[in-house]
Amino acid sequence: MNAAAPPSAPSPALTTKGLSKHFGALKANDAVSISLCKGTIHGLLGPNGAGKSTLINLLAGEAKPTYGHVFLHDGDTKIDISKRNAHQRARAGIGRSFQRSNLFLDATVMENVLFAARANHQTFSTLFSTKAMKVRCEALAQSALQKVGLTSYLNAHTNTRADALSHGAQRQLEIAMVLATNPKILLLDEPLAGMGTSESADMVALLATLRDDYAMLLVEHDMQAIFTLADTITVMVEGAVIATGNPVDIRANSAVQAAYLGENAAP
Amino acid sequence: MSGQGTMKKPTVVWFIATVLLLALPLIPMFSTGYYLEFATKVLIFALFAMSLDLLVGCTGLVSLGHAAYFGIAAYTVALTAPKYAAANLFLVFSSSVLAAGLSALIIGFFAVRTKGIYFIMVTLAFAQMVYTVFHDTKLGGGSDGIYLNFKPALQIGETVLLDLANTTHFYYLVAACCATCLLALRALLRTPFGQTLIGIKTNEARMLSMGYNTFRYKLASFTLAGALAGVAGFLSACQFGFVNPEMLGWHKSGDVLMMVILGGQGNFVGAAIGALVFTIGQETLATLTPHWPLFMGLIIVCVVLFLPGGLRRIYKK
Repeated sequence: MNAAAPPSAPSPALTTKGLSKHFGALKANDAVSISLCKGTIHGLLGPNGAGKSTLINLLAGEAKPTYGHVFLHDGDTKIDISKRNAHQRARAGIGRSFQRSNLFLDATVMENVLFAARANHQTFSTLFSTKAMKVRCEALAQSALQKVGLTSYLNAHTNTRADALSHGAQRQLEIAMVLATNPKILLLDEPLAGMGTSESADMVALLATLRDDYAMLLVEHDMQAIFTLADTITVMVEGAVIATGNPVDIRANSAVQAAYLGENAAP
Repeated sequence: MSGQGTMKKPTVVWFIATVLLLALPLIPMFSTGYYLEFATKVLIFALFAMSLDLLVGCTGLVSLGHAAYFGIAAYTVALTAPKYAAANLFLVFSSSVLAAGLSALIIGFFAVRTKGIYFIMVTLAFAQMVYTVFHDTKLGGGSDGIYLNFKPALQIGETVLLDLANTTHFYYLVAACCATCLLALRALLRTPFGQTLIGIKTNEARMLSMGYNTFRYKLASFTLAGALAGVAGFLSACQFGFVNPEMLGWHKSGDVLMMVILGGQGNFVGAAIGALVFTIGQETLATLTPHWPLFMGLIIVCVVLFLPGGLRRIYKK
């Protein structure tokens, strides 16, 4: 899909080639090829059961593909990470958030983010010493909380538990935990799920601020948010990509209108 | 927004732990003979239960084969001790704990790849395999097991520093091991390693997605728990002076799991309380009826129904 991209287009950070996940006869993902670039938001649309979460699981290493490959790009270097496990991909710079907030609910806000910050810094020599990593990880955690706007919890001694947060704040914390792992690529699975209008607007603004620093795949049912934020949109139906392009092209695409958006969504 | 993080230490648990630890050195001053031996037995089981709590309560791995490491260490004592002299305490202790830890490392390498009911079944299967090696075989001393003619001793030249045949000496050794184990495990929970184990128990999928190699942490926890069970097994062999295959049977694994459930998981003090109550209950009920497991079972069902956090939660009621 990037074949026609101008030379000034951002270079890809993660690409897939023919990525497929089959469960018997069911093709949850069928020959999906997408490209995520640094400094861009790539929206992923599709009705329920289209295979969006399966694709995120395949990219994050939580599911193994039946066929196809996932490549990580570092400048001109292209590494096939298809056989790597979830923790290896996370350490390689792929951060994911979950459709439902997946927090440590009985831990404090700061403990949640510190868990994430420690993930990439914990070595055998620091396993039994909290002091060695403390400063470095607290700085990472505070930076992540600041980025998502949870500034009231910056103090390591603030004992507010994650389950005491509002739904919107829990979604922000979910993103903060991803950012604290120091990723290059963000795979965000419905970050606006269950949010009210005001909370959604705040989350859209937050995601917009993250655009420049990451290559982002955004799965979302909120059309307005996707069309506001995304530089490129891929539409999936029944596991297959039916269209990829910029928001204007996607709005005008008749296959997309027929399969997913419906007449009312057309311009 | 007023919730408090549960990873902070609960004061009541620390209070109970402190009282128990302070009471330990005083017991030989007030009791001798049977009661001192009984207190020693309780402490050995407390140590055994704490080792399982590291797996069940802190890592979320419910093992039904933990007695294997207890028994392997006990058999190592019996098999390596000389027949007509007291074994060197340091050597026999190191070799038995090392044997238990190595066995746990090998079995854990396969077992921690599984989850839930499969983990329970795999640990049980491995433990039964180990049981078969010692049950009614020449290596295991036939159906009677193996007697330890001389208990190990720590001596320099002719001076005996610690003689395990002396019940008071032995009690202090067991109490020191138990207290050290409790304090070390509690301290371990506050390190990044311990926090990672708790994270794995709470939400392994999230830990993986953040970059934690959970397999390594679970294997480390399994090995450490096996080695600590080995310490308990070593002490048990030294206390009773014989070892038999029942020490590594699944009944023993079930008993120690019940101690952890009875006392409450995840902070080691509960496991120690569970060991105390279970051992007292077993000893008392067994004198009243041969069907004591029926009543012990009822007690455990009541605790699970009415005190889901175990006996250590009783102060909250």
